[in-house]
Amino acid sequence: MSHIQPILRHYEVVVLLRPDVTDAGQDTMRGRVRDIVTGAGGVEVRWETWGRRKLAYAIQKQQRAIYSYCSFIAPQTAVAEMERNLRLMESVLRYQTVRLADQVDLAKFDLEGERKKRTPLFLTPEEAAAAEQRGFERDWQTDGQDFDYRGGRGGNDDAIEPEEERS
Amino acid sequence: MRPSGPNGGGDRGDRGDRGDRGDRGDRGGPNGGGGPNKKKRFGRRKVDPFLADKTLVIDYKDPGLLRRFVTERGKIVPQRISGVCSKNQRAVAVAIRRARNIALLPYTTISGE
Repeated sequence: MSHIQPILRHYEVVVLLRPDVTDAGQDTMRGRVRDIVTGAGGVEVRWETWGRRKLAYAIQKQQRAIYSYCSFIAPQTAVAEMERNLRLMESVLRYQTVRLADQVDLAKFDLEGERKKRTPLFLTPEEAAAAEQRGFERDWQTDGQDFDYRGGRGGNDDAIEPEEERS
Repeated sequence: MRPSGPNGGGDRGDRGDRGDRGDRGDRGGPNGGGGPNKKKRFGRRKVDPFLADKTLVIDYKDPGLLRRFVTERGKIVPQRISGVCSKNQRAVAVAIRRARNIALLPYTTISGE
């Protein structure tokens, strides 16, 4: 036991960039995260772009933001360092890191399988560009409108109203 | 950053006193429980959509799905109305709070805009 291996965990981070950030600016941010993760002995699993989305509420007076998502495996210290860096970057409006797994054994981790996964908001770069062209804006009100998850809620919506009045 | 504490957000109000006492009994069976003074209610028995459809995953990254569990004002729908089981309701609530933090869902739609 010459040196102690840090415990690797699986995390994901969503980063919101100012809407005017260029592609190069996005790459800079990604590069930083990548360097920190790999520098600390972690592995970057995958990046996703969710494109420019309308925010549910304004952040720093911005109504829109460019969403990036990254799933990675890293020790805790790398997360602290990554968040410190994101805080320092002025192009970053907000970030949120979520821990997915407490302990990851790299030898057993299904890296390829994880790399193929996609989140519901995923856009390929082409799709993102096309959406941009059309001026189509995704936001929380229109996302997934074609699905009907309404399970048990049908017909009972009225029941909510009295609640609203109390507050 | 772990966005939500155990009691998180501003939604405590809707959950409190009324929420838990009420309708739990009904969900058990057709003539089920409730206290003696409880009004009899009719209507469709609510089904947890996550138990009904195993392919649905509760995920803060899916605002289209979570939107179903939020009122028009953006408040979390209590489980007695949404019909989501306790375990899943907790997961939904956490997911909604996370989604709010990254502006995928609103905290409120009244003045926020």
